[in-house]
Amino acid sequence: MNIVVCIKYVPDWEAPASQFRIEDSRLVPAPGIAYRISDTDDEAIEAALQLKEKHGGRVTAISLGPASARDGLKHALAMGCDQAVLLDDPAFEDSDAAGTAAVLAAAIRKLGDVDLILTGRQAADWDQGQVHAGIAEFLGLPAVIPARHIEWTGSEFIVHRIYEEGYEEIAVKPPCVVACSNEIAEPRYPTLRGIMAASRAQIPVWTAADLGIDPGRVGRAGRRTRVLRLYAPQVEAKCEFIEGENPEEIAAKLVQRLREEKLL
Amino acid sequence: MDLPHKESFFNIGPERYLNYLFALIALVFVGYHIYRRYRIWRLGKPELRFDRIPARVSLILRYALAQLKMPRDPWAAVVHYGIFWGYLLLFVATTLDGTTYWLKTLTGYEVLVGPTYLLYKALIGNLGGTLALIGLLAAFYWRLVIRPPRLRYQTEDWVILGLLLFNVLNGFEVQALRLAMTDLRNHPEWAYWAYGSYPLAVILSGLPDSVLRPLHWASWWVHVLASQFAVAFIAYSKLEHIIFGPLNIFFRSLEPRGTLKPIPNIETAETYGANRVPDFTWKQLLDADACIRCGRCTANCPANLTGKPLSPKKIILDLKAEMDRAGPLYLRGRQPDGPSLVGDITTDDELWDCLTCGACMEACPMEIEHVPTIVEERRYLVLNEGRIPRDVVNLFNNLERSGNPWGYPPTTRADWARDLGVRTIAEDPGADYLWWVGCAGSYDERNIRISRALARILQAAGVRFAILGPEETCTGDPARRAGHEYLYQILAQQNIEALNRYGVRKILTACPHCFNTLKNEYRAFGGFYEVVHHSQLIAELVETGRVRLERPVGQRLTYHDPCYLGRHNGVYDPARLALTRLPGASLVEMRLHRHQAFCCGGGGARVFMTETRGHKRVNHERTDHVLAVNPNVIATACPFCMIMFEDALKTRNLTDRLEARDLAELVAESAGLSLK
Repeated sequence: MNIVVCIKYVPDWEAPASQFRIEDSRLVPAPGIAYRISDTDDEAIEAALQLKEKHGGRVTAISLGPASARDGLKHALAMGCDQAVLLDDPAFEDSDAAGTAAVLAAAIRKLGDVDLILTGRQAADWDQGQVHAGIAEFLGLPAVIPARHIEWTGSEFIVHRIYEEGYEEIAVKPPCVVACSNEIAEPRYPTLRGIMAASRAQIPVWTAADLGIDPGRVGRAGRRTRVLRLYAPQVEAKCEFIEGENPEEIAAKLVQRLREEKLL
Repeated sequence: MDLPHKESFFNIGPERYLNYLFALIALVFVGYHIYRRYRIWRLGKPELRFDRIPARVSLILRYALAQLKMPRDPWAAVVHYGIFWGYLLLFVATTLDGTTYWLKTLTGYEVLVGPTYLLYKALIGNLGGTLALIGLLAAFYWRLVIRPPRLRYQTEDWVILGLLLFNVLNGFEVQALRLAMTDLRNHPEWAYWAYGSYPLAVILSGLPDSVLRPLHWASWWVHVLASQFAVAFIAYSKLEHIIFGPLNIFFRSLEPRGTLKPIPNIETAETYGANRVPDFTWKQLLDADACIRCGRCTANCPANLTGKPLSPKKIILDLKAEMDRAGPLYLRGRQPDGPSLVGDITTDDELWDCLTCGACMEACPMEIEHVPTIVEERRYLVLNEGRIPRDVVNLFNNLERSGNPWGYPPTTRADWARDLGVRTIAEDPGADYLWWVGCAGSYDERNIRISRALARILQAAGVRFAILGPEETCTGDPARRAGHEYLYQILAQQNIEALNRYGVRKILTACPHCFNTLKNEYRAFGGFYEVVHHSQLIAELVETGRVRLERPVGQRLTYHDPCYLGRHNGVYDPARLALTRLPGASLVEMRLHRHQAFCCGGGGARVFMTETRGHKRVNHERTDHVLAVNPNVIATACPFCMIMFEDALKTRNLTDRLEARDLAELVAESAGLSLK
């Protein structure tokens, strides 16, 4: 089974807002801020590795990003991915979701012979959650978004798709796109052997020319959406202690307060 | 001849020489056993333990011969000193006896004669027998009546005690039979000197020679056979500690106790940590053979005492069982399969429970090094297998990404000092001290208060210091103790590079974990510094009057020794000295203090892990020790201890009667400095 995992390498989303500046509707992280594989993308890697360990095959990690995304791909290799490809070209800069999906789809097409494409449900930096659907659209594949469980029966994938009240079981034939939610797997910590192998691995870089992409359709030039305004919301936090004689009383008062705030 | 003497081999004919054959057979058994175990130790990795021979000889004198750890348990002291010194004297007596015989036979010269003989009889032979008898009777009483839970009660234990007791009584009996036929008849005044067997000799003297002679002959041979059997039994029982114990004590690490060894050539190593017999060093394998199963390690282990699965004794004996099972197969060039030592036999949970507090090593009479072995097995879990608890994964991720255990932004590391006029080393390269603030002192709200108090003390005393600021990262201590040697080495190299770039010589730190790492472990990576703990500097400032303690603080204080300051580095006194100078305060000691102090529960990266196993949390147990001496302040000198105590006091609703305070806070307050 050949699996492609699309990952995004993003500034640490748990860093406080003070670590970011906004310039011309663009987010500029402070120098020295940590980057990491986006939340749920690492779970997608783990899900891919578990499928591979059970059924054999190869896992390829790809990332569209600046050269620094190489570190994210190294981490994916250290976790156990078999190969990684970095998609990097000045023409890709500032792509919107559609542009990103177009580049990733082209790369997946170039890789060929793919049974499953895994992504995270949404990237931790912009939270758009559109690229997976875009990839499926460009490749003409079915997509299950978002998934909390995936297994392979030998002929099709059984995917649990999350919705508000629970999940539904979907059987889907390969190749297909599945966007992973955090419940799907607990990402492993790479072993030192993995880290060492990854540090020696060569990661090829594919450009627009390699992928046969018209630079006018992606990146800044190809954007179909634009950000009207980007700002840090003012969040007001107030702390209130609920007191009482015993835990039961405190609980009762808490419930009452939450009702007053229309939170229950 | 009328001088006191004894006829050698009295009543024993030429068959006497068989005695040497039996001794030789027994020695062959023992020698072969040592050789077999030696070959298994040689399966292990190399480790330098042949340096500083005089220091090692001193170890032998203190811990193998004087057995300085024995008196900590009075019963064990009576039992072990009795049996050890008793049997040692008996061994000397037999050797002297044999030497005298051969000297006399070959040269005609007799040594043991006259007063020398009488003294020999009284102060070597009979004293030995008496001491051994006291030790053995105490051993039976201890094991049958007191029944300490730490001991093992298996057949072997009883066989050994029975054998030793039999040999002592049998020895007295043989001597008594001889005295009854010789000295008592001719020179009764010689016989008193054999006070151990004298009473029995008097009783037996009424029997006719026709009974005494054959009885003596038979008893003498029983004595020879039983003694040589006991010698041979060394090879088949825990008596092997007679040989492996002193050997292990001799080869003990001479580094400060908390020091861990790097994985050599980590970039090119094939496997990491230890799981198979050849993964351990020869000394770690010798450790396993030196274990006498006394259980002191486990009886002093804070994790075990609070109901967690970890037992340091089991860790060591698991390794021994693995050596017994797999060792011979490796020696025959085979790769043993079957259960894995780490995971199947020693469980992951046991390894993760360890606080690396070193109480086990401190208690061990054989100087076994449990903690490095446990960390080696953690390294296997982390680096080789990737089997890591979630909390520890978070810890590693935070250290990797942000250089601190909580994942705070590295850029804000020095924010705690923003309004204090504290300079960075870049701003003041000539500072006398580089103050290593550490992650807790930089980011943790409670510990920031301690950093600020210390900054004010240093400023008031006119100490010229500087900090690294955002260039400082975690020393790597929690990564290393959690088994991630690679991450530790990356952090260590980064820090050493920064420190050496500024030419730092003298480092001050308020964190015993940083203290231990900077002082003892950075050397292996080219970082050589004089490291001072803040308790040491504060004590000096107080003693020299540069800080004046004027206001009363606290009334009844107890001091909790941080493991990495006390047991691991031997710094016990400075904090106590400063605390006793506080006006109006009295210092009370907990039962477990100084080298026997009980860990707060935060060591070995456990401060970053949720405590899920056991019937009690370690910090709650330690808080009970505090409550037992009823102070109103727990003074400590470690940020992790502070976090653990704060947690215990809050979760047990004790905050209105008991406070946890760092030494720096108490001193700053007493000196009238601001605590904000």
